[in-house]
Amino acid sequence: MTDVGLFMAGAKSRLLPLSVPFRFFAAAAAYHVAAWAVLVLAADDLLSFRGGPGLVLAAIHLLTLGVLAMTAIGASLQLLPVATRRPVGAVWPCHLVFWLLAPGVGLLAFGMATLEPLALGGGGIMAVAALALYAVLIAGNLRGAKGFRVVVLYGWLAMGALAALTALGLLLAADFHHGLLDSHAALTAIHLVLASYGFMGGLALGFSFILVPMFALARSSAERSGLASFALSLAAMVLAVAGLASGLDGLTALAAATGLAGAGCYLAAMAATLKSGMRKRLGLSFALIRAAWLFLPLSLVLGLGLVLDLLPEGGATLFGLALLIGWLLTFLLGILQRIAPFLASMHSMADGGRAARPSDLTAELPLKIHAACHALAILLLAGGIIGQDVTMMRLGALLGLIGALAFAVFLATVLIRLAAHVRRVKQIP
Amino acid sequence: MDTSDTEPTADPDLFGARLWCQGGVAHIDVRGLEPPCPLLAVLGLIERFGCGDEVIFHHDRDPMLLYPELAERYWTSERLAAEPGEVRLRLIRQPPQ
Repeated sequence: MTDVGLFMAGAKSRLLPLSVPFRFFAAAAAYHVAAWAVLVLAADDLLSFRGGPGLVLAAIHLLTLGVLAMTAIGASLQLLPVATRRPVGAVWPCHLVFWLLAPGVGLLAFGMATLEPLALGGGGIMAVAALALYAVLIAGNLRGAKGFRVVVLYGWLAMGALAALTALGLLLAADFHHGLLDSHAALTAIHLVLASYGFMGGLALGFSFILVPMFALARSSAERSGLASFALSLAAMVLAVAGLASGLDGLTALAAATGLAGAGCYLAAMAATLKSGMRKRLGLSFALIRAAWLFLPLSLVLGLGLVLDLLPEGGATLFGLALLIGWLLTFLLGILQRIAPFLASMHSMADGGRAARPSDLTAELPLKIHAACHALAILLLAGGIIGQDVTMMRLGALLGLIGALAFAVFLATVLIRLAAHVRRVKQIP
Repeated sequence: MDTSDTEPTADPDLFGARLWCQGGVAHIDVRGLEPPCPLLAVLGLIERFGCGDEVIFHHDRDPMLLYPELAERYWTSERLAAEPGEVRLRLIRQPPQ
């Protein structure tokens, strides 16, 4: 099984400099704060939002590109080479992805909020270039990966969705000015489905099959359930795109039902993994991850209700809340608070010193504040949407903002404590 | 812990990792096991009652994901000389700080 060539390449080539994943995480933490701050300002427009330019669209893209994609990219660039035992190669493309994406997201969000064409076009092109370069890096790593079949298949699903969603995104951004597309609303819906369930969902579900066993100290998840969840997710994506493009609601509803079945298989695999894990006390991060796992099927049920016109006014906003904040953001932040100290610990012994304990690098209080604020934010936003209460929604966004600030404090603390550990170890003769 | 020398034996409770004792020190060889079994096997061993304060770990690559887990359990590691294609680590239990 041992690949001598890979072995000779050495573990260090698989371990990127700490600055690579952490610059993505730091940017994600900053955009997390920005997304909630813009949502506080945009609370008035939340219920009437239908995909057009403005503060709500800017907040959504600060969240999806700035937080979700940024976190996923930082984590996957570091963890995929470790998992597949294939080095990422040169580090400079990783830096380039960051320097295109980090300012690109800010510029794009500004352009979406103000309809400033240079910002919209420039930011969009920078973000698309970053995502394309990232896709090339990940595809190169996935292509030669042995094992991890479920992860690799989900990786390909995510990359396919990424290609389609970026093309659609550019088209939609151009159409804000020209207004030539008759099907702008349908294309917006396809863009949302591809971005949330296809790209981000594919990465989240796929990497779960590495990360959850890793954190729970379990053998790899049940592959059969994983393959079934992948097949159903792929079918759901195809059906959703076909249904939304053709306007056939029956197809879109079937897509949501198929997606639900896929989510069920995924959750069954995760439950089996956690059951077999050596580590039973998984802490606050898994409280978030478990909550996110409830929102995944809930978002699909709401999506189904939306297609069948069963939801009251504000149903579309509620669906967006469950999908983007309830499922994806909660899951990513649960993973990030686990990964950040773990990666920092891996790097803490880079010079051969004693590794720092991940729990010593973790600041519990900011994480507790974040979790409480995050949960309350979701509850208040949901209550505000259902009750058509803008004040409640604004209060929810404000709590989200406080939680985001607490999360940023946590991330900064990890780095400060890591630096202190390295200094201490270097003083030991 | 019985410190007499023993022959390598596959331990079914540790995913088939080979265990033996040499010079009063436990050895674990996880070469050939599919990930994440090497990680689980060595953690299972050091959490076993009576495993001792030192374990020699034989693997075919640098187990990067292991180091944070060792640190969490107050164990450290040091690299030992090994044959080409093998990574050999001495794992040492430390007093909690």
